Amino acid sequence: MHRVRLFLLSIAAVMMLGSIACADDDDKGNGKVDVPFVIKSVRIDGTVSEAAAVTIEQQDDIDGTDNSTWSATYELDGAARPTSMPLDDGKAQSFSVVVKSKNVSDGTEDRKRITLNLSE
Amino acid sequence: MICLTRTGCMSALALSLFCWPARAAIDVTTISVTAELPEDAVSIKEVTVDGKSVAVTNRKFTAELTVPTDANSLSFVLGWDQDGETHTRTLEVTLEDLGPPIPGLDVSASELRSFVGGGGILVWVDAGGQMQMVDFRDNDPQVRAISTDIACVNPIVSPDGTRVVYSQGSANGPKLLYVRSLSGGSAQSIATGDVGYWQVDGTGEYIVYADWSDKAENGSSGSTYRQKLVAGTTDLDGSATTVHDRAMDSGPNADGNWLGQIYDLMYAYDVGGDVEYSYNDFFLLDGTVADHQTCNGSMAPSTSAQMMVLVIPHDWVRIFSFQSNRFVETSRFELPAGMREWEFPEWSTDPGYFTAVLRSGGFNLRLYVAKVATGEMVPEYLAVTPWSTSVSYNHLWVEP
Repeated sequence: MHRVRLFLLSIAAVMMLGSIACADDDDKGNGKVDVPFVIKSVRIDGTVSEAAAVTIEQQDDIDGTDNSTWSATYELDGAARPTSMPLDDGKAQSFSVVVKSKNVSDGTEDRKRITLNLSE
Repeated sequence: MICLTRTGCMSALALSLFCWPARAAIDVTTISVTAELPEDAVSIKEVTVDGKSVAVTNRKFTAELTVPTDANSLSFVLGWDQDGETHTRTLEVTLEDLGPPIPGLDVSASELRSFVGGGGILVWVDAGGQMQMVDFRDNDPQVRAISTDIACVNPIVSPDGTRVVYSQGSANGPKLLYVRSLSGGSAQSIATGDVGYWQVDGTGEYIVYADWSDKAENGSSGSTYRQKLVAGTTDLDGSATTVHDRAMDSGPNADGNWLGQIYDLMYAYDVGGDVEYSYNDFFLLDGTVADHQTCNGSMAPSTSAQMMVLVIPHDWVRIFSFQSNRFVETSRFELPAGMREWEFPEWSTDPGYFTAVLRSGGFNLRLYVAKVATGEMVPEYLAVTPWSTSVSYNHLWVEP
C-alpha cells in the first residue's frame, strides 16, 4: 500500500515539474516570451508654419534656434529627469506631451498635444 | 469696444477676425520608436511595423512612423513572430490642437473647464510672494494680482468664490491673517497665527485659524480659533472663540466637525465628540503606523473626515480617511515620471480635485490641477503654469 502511494506521489511530482517546465520552455527548448518588447525611447519630429520658438514640455527646440522644425526625444525609463517618461512594462499605458510655439514676428502662441497610447 | 449699432458690432467682429494674429501651425511629421526585445526572445523570426519587416540588431529595433499631414489620429501595429505565433502591440497617436493658452499660463480656459467639469478660480503665490489669480469662468480670462501684498502664505478661496483668506509673513513662524475680496478693496485683519481656512454652516461664515506651532510641538503649543464674518463680506462679526486647545494647521472639513494637524506628525480632532486622534491612529496601506513627517495638510471639502498630506521628503501626497475609529491611507499619489518632488498640495473646494506644485530637475516648478482618486497611482493631472521658479501655495475654487 505504501509503495502504491509513493508511486502516485512520484507521478504527481513529475507532472508538476513537467507543467513548470512547460511554462518556461517551448517545444523546441527555447525560452518562451510572455512579455512583449518594450519601448525604450520615443523621438518626435515636426514643423511649424512660421518661424517660431518651440518648446516641447521642458525641452527647448533641439538646435536652439527659431526656425520651422523641431524635435524632442523621451526615454521611457521612469527616471526623475525632464526627458523621462513612465517606464514601459509591456502593458497598456498612455503618455502625452504638449508642443508650444511662439511666433518670432508677434509672439502669438499655439499648442498641440501629442498623446501616445500603447496597448497590449 | 462700444457698439452703437448691430451693424457696427458685426463690422468690428469681422475686422477682428481678419486681423487675428496668424499662429504658427504645429505639425508632427515623424514619430520614431526604439524598442527592445526581451533577453529570452531567442527564437524570434521577424519584427514588423504595420506588416513590414524592420531590422533587429542586438534585440533592438527602431520604427520610424510617418505622420500624414493634417492627421488627427493614427495607429501602428508593432508585431513579431515566434515559432509561428504572432505577438503585437498597438501604438495609437492622437494629435489635438489646443490653441493659444491664457496669457502667461500653459493652459486655456476651455481645457481647465473641461478638466474640472466647469468654471473656477485658481489662486497661487508667485516668486515675489504675491497672490495671483485667474477666473476661468470668463471667456477671455487673464492672470492678475489679487493685491500688492507680499510674503503671502496659504491663500484659500471662500466657498462662494468671492473672497480669499491668507497669511502674511514667514512660512516658518507666526504670521498675520487677513481676508480680502477678490474684486478689490482693502484687507481685513483677522489675527496673528499660522494659516486660516473657511467654514460655512447654517449659523454663518467663519474663518478657522490656528496659532503658529513649532514642528516638534505638533500643535501642542497653540490653539485653534473660529472668527465669524458678516455673511458675504470681509467684516468681523464679534470676537473669535477657541475651538480646540491644539493648533490644528490643516483646518476644518466642510461642516467644521473635524480638524486636522500635520506639522510634524498627523493629528485629527472630532469636534462634536471631543475626541483627538494622534499619529498612532493613522495607518499606511501596509498596515503600519503612519508616524512619518508631514506638511501642507488640508481637510476634505465635504462632511467626511479625510486629510490630504504631503509626505516628507515630498515623494508622496496621501489621503487618510476615518474608518472605524482610526485613519487609514486610502490614496497614495505617486510622482509622475520626470518629477522629483510634490510641493504645496491643497484640496480644492470640490472633493474630486486638488492642486499641487511639481518640481522637476533643479528648481523648476509648475502648478497642476489633479483629480482625487482612491488607491496608489499617478493621478490624472493638468499643467497650469509654465515651468518657473515662481509658484508655491495655491488653491482651486470649483464652481458648484
